[in-house]
Amino acid sequence: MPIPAYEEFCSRVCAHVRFKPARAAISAELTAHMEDHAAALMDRGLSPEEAEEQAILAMGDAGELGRAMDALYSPFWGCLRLWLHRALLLIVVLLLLLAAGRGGTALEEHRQRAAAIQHLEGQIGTEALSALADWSPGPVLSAGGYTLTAERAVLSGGEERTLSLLLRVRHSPWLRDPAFLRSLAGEDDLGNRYRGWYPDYPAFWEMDVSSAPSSPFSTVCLVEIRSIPAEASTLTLFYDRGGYRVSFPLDLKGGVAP
Amino acid sequence: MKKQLHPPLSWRHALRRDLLLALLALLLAYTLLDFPCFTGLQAYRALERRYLYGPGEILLTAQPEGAFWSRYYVARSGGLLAWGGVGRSGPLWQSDGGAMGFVFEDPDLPLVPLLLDEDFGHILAVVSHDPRIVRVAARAPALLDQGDGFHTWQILDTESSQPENGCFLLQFPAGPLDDVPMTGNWRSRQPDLVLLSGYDAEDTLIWQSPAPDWSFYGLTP
Repeated sequence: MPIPAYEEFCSRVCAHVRFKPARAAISAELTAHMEDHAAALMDRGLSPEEAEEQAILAMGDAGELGRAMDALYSPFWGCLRLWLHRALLLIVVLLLLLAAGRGGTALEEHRQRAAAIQHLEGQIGTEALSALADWSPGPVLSAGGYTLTAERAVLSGGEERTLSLLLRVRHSPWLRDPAFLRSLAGEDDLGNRYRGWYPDYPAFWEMDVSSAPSSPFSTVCLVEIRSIPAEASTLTLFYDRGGYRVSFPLDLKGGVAP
Repeated sequence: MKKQLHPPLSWRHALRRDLLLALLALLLAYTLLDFPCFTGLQAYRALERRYLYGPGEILLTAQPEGAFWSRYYVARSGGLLAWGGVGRSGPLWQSDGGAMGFVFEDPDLPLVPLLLDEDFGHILAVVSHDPRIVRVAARAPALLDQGDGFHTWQILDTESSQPENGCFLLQFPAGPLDDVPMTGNWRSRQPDLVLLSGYDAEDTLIWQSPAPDWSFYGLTP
């Protein structure tokens, strides 16, 4: 219950404050201050009426206090801050509306991404039907803000084998579309080199890399390396560009006993 | 002590709330704008990182007219020369767009060309390893519009005498609908159809690239 004496004092103070939106905050602050003071006085043995009166008196002259508050809450800065707040609110609301509007597109994009990943996983799944080995190599590489995990490796074929490798690449949203994946190359322990897009190696279509983003933070990539001789037991995938030389070896037997 | 259940916010609290709102707005805008970059260089560095290249020493920065990308960079790192093109959308730069190309740097070769944009701006960057070379001229076959709707194969020349860190930018004076084939090898993307010549301050020819084969176009370099 608000105490009428406090309310009356506050309204006398606020009468001097030109910036009206600040009056409620000033009243609340003054009232809280007087209530605290009165409570302390009552603890010392004063009656509630005496404590209220003393607390109001301690605040000093309402006119003087009002003018000081008016200087503190100037209408110019007050209005500026108020409009700034309203503008900010409007911007946030507009952005939220925009986000809601893009929700449909984002959902569609998510569906397309999921379908692309499903396609890649389906491809490796098909290879797995005639697999000589099917295993999960695990984390293989960390470089330049990218962490690569080989989630699944499938070795299939006869005299000439095909290695299908499903990689998940984790990254920040600023490093989406890890373009280096398209320039990965391979070399087996017999010295044969495998490359998709590179002028240096004659083997042109022996390696194929397809990737699809799964979120702003990760990309799924399917690497297919064909025409691997049956005698090859390890294959090293590497990327070599100015400043970066990264590689990771894969055991072609995949842990399966020969 | 009695207190209001929901006292009006003090100015300090209001300021804190507004700052929080501003932060939220910025975060939302940044996400909705698809994590853009604020400068071209920032976008180029992001591009380098996506190709696990560099960071390269920037040799040239260019914004040629009619080019596919908004800005091009030529850089050097680890024995490789690279060019990168980045895109702009409004005042911001795309962090996930762009393209890069690489050339092994042969220090014995006086001029090393990089094909920046064959289809739209017909642009080449040429890195010089010979400090005597102050002017670079390039010659290429071009299918040019005669103005009457007919196109004919002709020889097109361009030159540059304003290198930036030993790197010349050359743009063939052809429209976006004209064809200036600069590479005969779509895999390597090397401008092997361009005849390059480097001249010194006295206009003496210092070096010329091997004559390209233009017989397909019915032309001789």
